[in-house]
Amino acid sequence: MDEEYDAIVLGTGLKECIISGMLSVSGKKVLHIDRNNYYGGESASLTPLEQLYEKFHGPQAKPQQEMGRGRDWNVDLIPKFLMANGPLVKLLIHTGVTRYLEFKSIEASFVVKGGKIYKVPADEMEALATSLMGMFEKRRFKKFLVWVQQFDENKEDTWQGLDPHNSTMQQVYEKFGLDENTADFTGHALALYRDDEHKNQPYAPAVEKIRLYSDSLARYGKSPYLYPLYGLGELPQGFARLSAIYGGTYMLDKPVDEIVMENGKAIGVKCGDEIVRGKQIYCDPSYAKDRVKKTGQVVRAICLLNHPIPNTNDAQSCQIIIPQKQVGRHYGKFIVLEKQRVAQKRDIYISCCSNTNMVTPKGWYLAMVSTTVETANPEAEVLPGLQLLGAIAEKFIQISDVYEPSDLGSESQIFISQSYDATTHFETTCKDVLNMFERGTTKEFDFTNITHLSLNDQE
Amino acid sequence: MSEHHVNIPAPQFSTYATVIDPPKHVTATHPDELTTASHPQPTHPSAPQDPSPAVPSTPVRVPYPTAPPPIPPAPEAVTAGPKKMALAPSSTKTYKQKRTFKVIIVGNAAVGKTCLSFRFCCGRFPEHTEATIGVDFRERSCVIENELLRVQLWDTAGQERYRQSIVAHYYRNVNAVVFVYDVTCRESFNDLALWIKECEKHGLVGDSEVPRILIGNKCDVECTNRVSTDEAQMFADRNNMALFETSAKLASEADHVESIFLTLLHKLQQSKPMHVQSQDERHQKEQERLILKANETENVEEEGFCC
Repeated sequence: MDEEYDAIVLGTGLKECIISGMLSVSGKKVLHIDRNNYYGGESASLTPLEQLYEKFHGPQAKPQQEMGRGRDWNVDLIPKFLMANGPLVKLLIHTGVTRYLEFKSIEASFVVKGGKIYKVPADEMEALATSLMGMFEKRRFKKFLVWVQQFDENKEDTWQGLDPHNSTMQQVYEKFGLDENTADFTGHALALYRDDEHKNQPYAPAVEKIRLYSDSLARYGKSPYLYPLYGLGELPQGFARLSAIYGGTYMLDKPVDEIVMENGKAIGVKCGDEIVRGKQIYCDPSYAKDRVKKTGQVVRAICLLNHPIPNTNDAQSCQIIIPQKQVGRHYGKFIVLEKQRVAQKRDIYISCCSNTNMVTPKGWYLAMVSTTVETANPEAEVLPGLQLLGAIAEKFIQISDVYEPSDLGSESQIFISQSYDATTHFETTCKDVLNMFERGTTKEFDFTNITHLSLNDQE
Repeated sequence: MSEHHVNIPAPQFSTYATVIDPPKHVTATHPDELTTASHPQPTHPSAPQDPSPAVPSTPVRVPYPTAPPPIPPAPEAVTAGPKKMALAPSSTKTYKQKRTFKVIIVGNAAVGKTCLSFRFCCGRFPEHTEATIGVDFRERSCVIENELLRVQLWDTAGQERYRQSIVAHYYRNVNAVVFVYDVTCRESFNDLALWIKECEKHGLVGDSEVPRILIGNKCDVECTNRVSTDEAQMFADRNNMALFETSAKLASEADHVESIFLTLLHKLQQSKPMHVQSQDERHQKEQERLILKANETENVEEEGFCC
């Protein structure tokens, strides 16, 4: 440990592992440390099930007998899916990390309207049959979607007279004559916005997001989402192996006491009596608490079910989105909710996986309900989601603080990632990682450095 | 305007199945496939996994021979010059079926895992090896009974230096495990128990269908405090493993390394493909499961030396 590293990465969350992989591939000498004895930090999949019980209820807590073999459970701490055509899938393919992973597409996506669950149409047949919108609205919506596919920010003739720089999404909806319900469905279930702010912003990003949704859907058919077998915890481990292949050194179960500074610049980390020297530090917020600020909270309820979610056609895996507007309105009869009705500004997301995804034993389902915390009673905020799940065998509620760096690292050479937000996909994750990499190396990542994919041994 | 013509195109209808649906077997984790997975192609998943094995449907399996399968000494190998590997596939032939096997090598750092896999896959001893860099796995193709077999020897990528740090997927979809220790390093032998435990934690238990072998490497190195063969043999017996002592470095041992891995390969070749296994089949397999026993290993060693 007396050598000096180009970079020391602290924490093995997905973001840190991607960064570690990218740095090693770029020829940097990397030391990667985690205080836990498992990979993944916040983005780990806990296994066996006993580990989950211990984390939430203490060492005495034990799962029920009928929950099967603990080793068959892989419980994510944050629920996310991959967009089949999104940046993370591209990164996985280009880095060859797909070699270590197997994916399955999520069976269906649902949206809640008027207290009922509707399937988001995945093909023309379903679109024809859906009762999400009326006949005439369908025609207008079709026109809108055709335009979305053609739109090009750089070609004025595709703008339909709406300048993307100063026209809002609301204006687009009006232009195509789409009613509020359709706009709601489009913004939340297709573009995956968590609130309505986008309606008042220039429309190009929203159109791009809708296009990403349909391109992803076109890829594998059933839904636009992919999910790795054995849980999301596989992703950081895949990138960790990539980093190791390019020389990264790995150390789990190693407590880190502090980042050692000299003249305002990080020079290494202190672990017990020893100091490891490194020119740069990359870490998650928990390793640099004095250099981050809290920006909010996310509440997540992990629920173990012994049945699929009702009204989803027994989907073995799915996503359900409850758009903000649908939350207060139809659950108003609950007193707690009545009070917060006005306050709820963010969507509620539900994700569900099961034995087909190798995260539960046969007959068991894992549902996770999450949203951004807006009130003093976070548990009540996920209630509308919990009510859709039917009988819940066991429930774990976690409230996590969301941090972002207050120090961007140009002086200190400490580069800190943001906490994982409430979205159920990885768009923001990839953006943050690329941003960290560029802050740290002042370069963009060069994919041609990846050479191990050809099998020829270079000696 | 009839209802018939109202349709919503954007969630495009696609007729193909999920291309990256989980292949049950390592085959599909081969690099090319997932790249193709990103360009969806109609219907068939990945090429190598789908040829539903034309294994003769007779319920009786050919038992694993008590003597090691004869390893045809490739005549080319005898002649000098660039050595052609035994059982190498020819480019023109078409094979009855193709299978890929994932074999992992575990053991302490610096016991020679990389050198052993290099010897087997590349036919020689690597000139400079420090800690392993830049290799995911090494691969070698062999043809046995008109079947193309691809063996992937996976490398720990140096993550064994601090034991707990090997990623979980390393142990997934594994067809065989090779444990390696250094005969001149007592610690590496003592730590084998921990490695076995680590494998069991990931479901690779001793009495499963996944064969395990034990290799004591560096037998060419002179040393006073050597791990004795008897001791190693006892350990191997206790854990249902075949023991081999060899050296990846010594050119005279090259054929021995070759025969060890080919023996393993034969064993794999006779195993049924892991996917689509009915309860009965599994039960049957359980009963027919055969383990390389200690007396076999001696034979193997003799065979190994003489060919």
